[in-house]
Amino acid sequence: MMEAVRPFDEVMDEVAKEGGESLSLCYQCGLCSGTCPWGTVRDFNLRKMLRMVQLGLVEESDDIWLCSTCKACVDRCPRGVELIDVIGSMRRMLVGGGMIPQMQRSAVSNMVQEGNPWGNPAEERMDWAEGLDVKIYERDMDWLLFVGCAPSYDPRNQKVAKALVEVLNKAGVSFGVLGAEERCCGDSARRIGDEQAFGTMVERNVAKFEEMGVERVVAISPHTFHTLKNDYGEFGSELEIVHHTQLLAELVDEGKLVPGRLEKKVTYHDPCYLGRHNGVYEEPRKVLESIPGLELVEMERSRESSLCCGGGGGRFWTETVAEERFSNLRLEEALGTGAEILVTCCPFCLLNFEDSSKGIARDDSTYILDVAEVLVKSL
Amino acid sequence: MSWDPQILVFACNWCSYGGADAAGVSRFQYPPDVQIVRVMCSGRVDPGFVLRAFNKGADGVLVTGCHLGDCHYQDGNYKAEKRVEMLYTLLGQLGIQSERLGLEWISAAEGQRFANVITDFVGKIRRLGPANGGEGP
Amino acid sequence: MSASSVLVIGGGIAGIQASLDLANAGAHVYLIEKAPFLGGRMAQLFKTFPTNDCSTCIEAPLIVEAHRHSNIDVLVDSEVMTVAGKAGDFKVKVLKKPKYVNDNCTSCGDCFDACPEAVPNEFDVGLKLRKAIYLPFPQAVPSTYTIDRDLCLNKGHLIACEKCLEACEVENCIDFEMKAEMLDLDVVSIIVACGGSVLDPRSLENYGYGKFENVITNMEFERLVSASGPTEGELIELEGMESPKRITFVLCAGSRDVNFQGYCSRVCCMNSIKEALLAKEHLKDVEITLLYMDIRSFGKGFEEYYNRAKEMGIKFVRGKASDVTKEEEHLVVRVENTEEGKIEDMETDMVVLAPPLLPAEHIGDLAKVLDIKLDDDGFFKMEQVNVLPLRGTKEGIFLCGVATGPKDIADSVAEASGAASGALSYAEKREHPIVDIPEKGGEGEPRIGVFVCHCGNNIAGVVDVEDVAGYAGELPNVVHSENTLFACADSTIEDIINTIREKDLNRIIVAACSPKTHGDLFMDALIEAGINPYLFEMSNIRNQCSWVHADEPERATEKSKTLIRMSVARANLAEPLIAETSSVTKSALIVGGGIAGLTAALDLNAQGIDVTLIEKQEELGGRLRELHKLSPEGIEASKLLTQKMKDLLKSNVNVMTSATLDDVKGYVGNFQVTIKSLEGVTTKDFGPIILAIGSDLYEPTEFGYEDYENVITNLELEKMMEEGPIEGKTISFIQCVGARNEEYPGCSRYCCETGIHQAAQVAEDNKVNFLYKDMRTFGKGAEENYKIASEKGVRFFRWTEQPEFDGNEVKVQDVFSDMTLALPTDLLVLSVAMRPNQETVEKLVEVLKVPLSEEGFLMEKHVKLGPVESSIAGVYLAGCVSGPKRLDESVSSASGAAAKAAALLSKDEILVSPIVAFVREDNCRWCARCSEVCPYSAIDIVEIEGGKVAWVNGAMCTGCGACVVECPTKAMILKGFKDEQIEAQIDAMMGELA
Repeated sequence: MMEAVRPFDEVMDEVAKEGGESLSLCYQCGLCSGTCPWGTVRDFNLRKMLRMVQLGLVEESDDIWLCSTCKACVDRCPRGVELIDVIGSMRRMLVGGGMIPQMQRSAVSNMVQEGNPWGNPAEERMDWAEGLDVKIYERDMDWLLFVGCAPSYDPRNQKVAKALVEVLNKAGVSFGVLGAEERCCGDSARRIGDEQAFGTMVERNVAKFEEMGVERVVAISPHTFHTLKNDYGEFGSELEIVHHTQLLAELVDEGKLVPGRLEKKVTYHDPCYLGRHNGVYEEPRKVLESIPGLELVEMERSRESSLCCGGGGGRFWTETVAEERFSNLRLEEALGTGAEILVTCCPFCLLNFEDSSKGIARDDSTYILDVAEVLVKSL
Repeated sequence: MSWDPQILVFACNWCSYGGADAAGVSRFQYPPDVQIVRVMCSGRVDPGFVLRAFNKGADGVLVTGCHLGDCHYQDGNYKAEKRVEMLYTLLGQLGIQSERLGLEWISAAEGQRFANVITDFVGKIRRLGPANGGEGP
Repeated sequence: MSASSVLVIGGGIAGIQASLDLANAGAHVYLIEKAPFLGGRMAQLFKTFPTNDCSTCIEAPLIVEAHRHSNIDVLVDSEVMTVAGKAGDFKVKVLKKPKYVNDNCTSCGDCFDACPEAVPNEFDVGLKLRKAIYLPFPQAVPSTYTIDRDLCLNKGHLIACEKCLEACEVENCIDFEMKAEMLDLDVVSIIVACGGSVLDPRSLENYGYGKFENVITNMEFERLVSASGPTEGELIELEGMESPKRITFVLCAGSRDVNFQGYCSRVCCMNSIKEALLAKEHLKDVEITLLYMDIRSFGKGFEEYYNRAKEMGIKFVRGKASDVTKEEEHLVVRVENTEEGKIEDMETDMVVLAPPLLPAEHIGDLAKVLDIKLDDDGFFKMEQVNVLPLRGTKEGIFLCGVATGPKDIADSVAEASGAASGALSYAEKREHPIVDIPEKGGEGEPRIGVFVCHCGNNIAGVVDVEDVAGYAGELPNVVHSENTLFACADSTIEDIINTIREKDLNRIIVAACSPKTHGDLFMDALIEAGINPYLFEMSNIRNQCSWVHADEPERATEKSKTLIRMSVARANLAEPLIAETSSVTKSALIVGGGIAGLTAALDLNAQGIDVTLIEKQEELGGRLRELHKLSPEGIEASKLLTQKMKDLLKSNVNVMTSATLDDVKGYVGNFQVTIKSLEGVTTKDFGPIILAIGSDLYEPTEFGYEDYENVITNLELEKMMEEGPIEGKTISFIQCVGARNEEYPGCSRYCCETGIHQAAQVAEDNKVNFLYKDMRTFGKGAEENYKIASEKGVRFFRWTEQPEFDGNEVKVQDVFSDMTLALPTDLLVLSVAMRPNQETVEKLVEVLKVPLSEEGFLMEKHVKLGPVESSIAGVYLAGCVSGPKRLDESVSSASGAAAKAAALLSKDEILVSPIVAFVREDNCRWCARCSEVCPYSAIDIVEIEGGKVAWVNGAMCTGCGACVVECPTKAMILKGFKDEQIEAQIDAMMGELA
């Protein structure tokens, strides 16, 4: 036999401490490797990477930063290994040791400094709402609309914020925003593994919510929705959180929102953080199906088997080479249905699809839309 | 080959007949030139049977039974062994090549062995040619 | 019927076996089956592993036997509604649904053709249509058609569809007015053999079942390759209808999976390998790949079967398939080959999924009715999973087969016999049907009937059976010749009986399989037809012809004709033979006082039977004495043993320790056994003998076992754990020591589960490495323990190259990382294989002539259907004597052996074979040569008028024929194997037929 290497047991001990103890359950079946979208775009073997973690023989590479935390593997793992937690624990260890890649480092640092991963000036956070009927949150309002960084600063996503606000006003919903006081929810920090930064953001936000007497929050981004719903509780927060499509579905149900006719064939992409992570599959569809004349066709891979756009896990803040973008593959799938509009409801998905579609010639410039935008179109 | 040998095989109920069945179950193929006559024990095989077979024109006779020490009836196969040995001598005197008579021990579990034994024996008889020296009966 | 009645719920192979064991022991049985036919899931299979026996071929005779047995009342279309009372006195209400067709049905099928309502049939898993009036499959027993009233258009309205009635040419056959019956049954005990169901494969969304037509399940595959299936055995894709060029099997499709079933479904590895081999048989060039995580080929002959599949070019890829998708012309299976670290998108034409067995449908309802518990997986809960696996949680109720969890036919059959043993302890009154063996048939000229069997495709696929039947019909004395699809089918047996009567036949030749397979069945048919059963011949045109000359159909056909000609020659000279009766010594001997021997002894004692148990060691208990805690629950072995010993003390089993078997003389029902003990040498008489001698463990030479202090066996670890806790060490386990190698290719079955259990225990306070080849944790609770061991931090290393140990480190080529790893190890534990108990086995072979299998364990009568019987009548096998077993398997097989022994002991006399030597006194000169050569001292001298002659004691003669050859005057003949008969066979072979 060849030269033998001793496993480093200490690594698994650390991983376990950091929340990745379920890795010991892994019996190396390879289901995750076949499931992970990274295996389709490059020579990446998820199972083998985890094997090396089990042995404590991980080598330096960017592999640990590839994961977009889409959860497809976790849902299928026959042993119940929480792969995202395992990768998260590895990232936490690396971050703790100062080994965080540059782009992720910047995103987190900007988030803490300016309240958004881009590092745009905090004061400009409310600029998108200029001229619009958007109030600052007050104690007796029904909902706090947590706009989020992308809808606040990114031009494409600002359109979504505007569309949503229009719809909510039309439905007579009592809501307000935190305005320039709003800060990043911190989701990306946690996914990247910087618990310290995350803690900072959460504490700040929780304090703000308490100060403002916030009890119910509607979030535009599924990532915000996810972290407020599932993570903020660790920091003592007790909020009722919904995603904007859930609120829209409720309004349609209650008759407060009556969509007009829109004769379009659309397909819907389930964002990972709304679908797999939180089980919200039906509400966005309900909203779309309530629009007369709208034909909804499903892609082959929908709901639990939806293909990640590649934006989660902090990857949105990194550069992904064109050939390796999941959103390209997903867009192809959408085009394959013959739909005229690809509808989604996540700012990362939206931008990733917009990016991917730049290489494709199409005549309708409104090919990719948020659910709220589709509603507006129908009204 | 225009000539196919006719070979008689005696198989004992407990061992070699079971082995022949096992060969079938596992589909171990062998040439169809043999016919099996079941007896309860290889010790039942009267030398007269062997001589009769050759007299009627058989090209080969194979006596099979349990491995020595394993005979279902204690020592029937030892008796068979002695009788076959006597027959080797007798056949020579009658002008029949003694190689045309065979003796093999095959257990009920040995399907592959049964098929191999038959294949080898048939091959041997084919090489010896027809027993009566002519083109076959 | 004055015999005690037992209720058997479920008419699959387990229920049938249990019923036969009960009935053969003189109890009365109500066999309840909810489907319209007997046979269950086994009837749907094409072949069975590892012998590739045709499933119907080996099940049919048991079904027919159960159906015909006068002690068994078969109630199909029936369900148990309520159970009241207690053990010894249960009051059961059974609802018998009407067939709307009565026993006048001739199974002609005219009604089927006429019926307008069609629906996918259950038997072919929906691949074929049946009508509202139907027979589930051609060989179904009972062969009466049934009307599915839910589907039937005749709802009792004024204008009703009665097309079937109109088409039926039998008077008074279809009766729409038949009513359901509620039957009140009084039974002393109940056996639950209700089988299981299968996971709905549509729930496996990523595998595309239901979306893509060419994704099928194991059972659908079985039906496709079955000669009686929807395509008559043509293996074709459901979409496209062409033969697949590539087939991919996906194992563990919904098992060993927290998202579906956590347990291992135990049979799918072997089942899929079998199907792969069948596919190769059907389509020589087909490319087959099996995707697996661990191949569980743990049973007798299983590993060799797996090796054969590999040799035949079937590919095994270690990886769990993630997705099945469809391209235009083919399917794509995505899987990572974890041994090579490559993710592949495999193109394939057909995907066969292996979904797990689940608890029976509506098992909850049945559990409520019976007032017994279910376990965590929803199967019936065993009273105690190690030593009481066949008892339900209520006294008087016994469990067997898949009712308690997935298992294969052999294990189900052993358990069924075991459950019968338990049920018999409440059956105080026994009654045996009186069998009158007719003497008729010897008068006048031979009138021969020849029945040439197709055996589905097994014979007819090679031999031109029509030609052969035609040829036979022309032979002298043959007055009837026909060819038939399955000679062993109930309906064909009826046909044979009727033909015998109608055509006054007195010789029957069946050209089919081996006499060892169905000989008894046909002989029973002759008895029922009123002629002597020894006027029967079988021409072995299957095992010894069509199966072994598959590429030479013409010569096989000619050979079949020759074989029949030879049978005709024998038949012409056959005579009726009357069997002698022999008494049965009402005492049982059990050799071996380990858990198997103790179980068998207590089982028999509970039936009031006199039992002697001999044990070679000073103390009873066998290996159980050396064990610490038992998988899966961690119960202390000593606790279980103490309980057994308490039970033993309360019983009247005669125990002899420090006692060994010295000699055995005699035959079934009348063994004279010489026992050597501290008191000297004693000889006692016994009816049956149960061998429960257990096994040895391999003494390793590998891994420095003999050199290093820190290398021990798994048994030695048990002792260490019993002595005190082990802490602060790094312990490495190496599996498969002495097994799955060139010399001993078989799997030792018990060691993965035991190893995992040990690993999980020591993982509390130690670092543990577990090095395995395949993880074979298939027993109840074992897969769950594998997960628990992982949770506890046990590290797993899969190897294909043998690891090394230098006293300090284990070096292993880790498959999953593709790296050579060095694992510092304080204590190396070798999981060693079981070996036969060499010395004792040699003695048994010497005195009993029991045949051995390849690895030196005792060979069972039939590895699937005769797991607890040896090929010596009256000698039964319990526990590891026949091969490695887990504890509950030893216990079940011991109870099974007890049931066989009990059946023998329930009879006052048994029929001894009439194939015995006989002296024609006129020719005898009393030279005494016969007497000298007889190994059984069965020949004596008697005085008659005119001198002395030899006389054969028919009860002691075993029919070897040695004396016949020795007799110089041909005075001695062997009945059934006369010189004239053999000579006629030889002549016939060479073309001469008198």
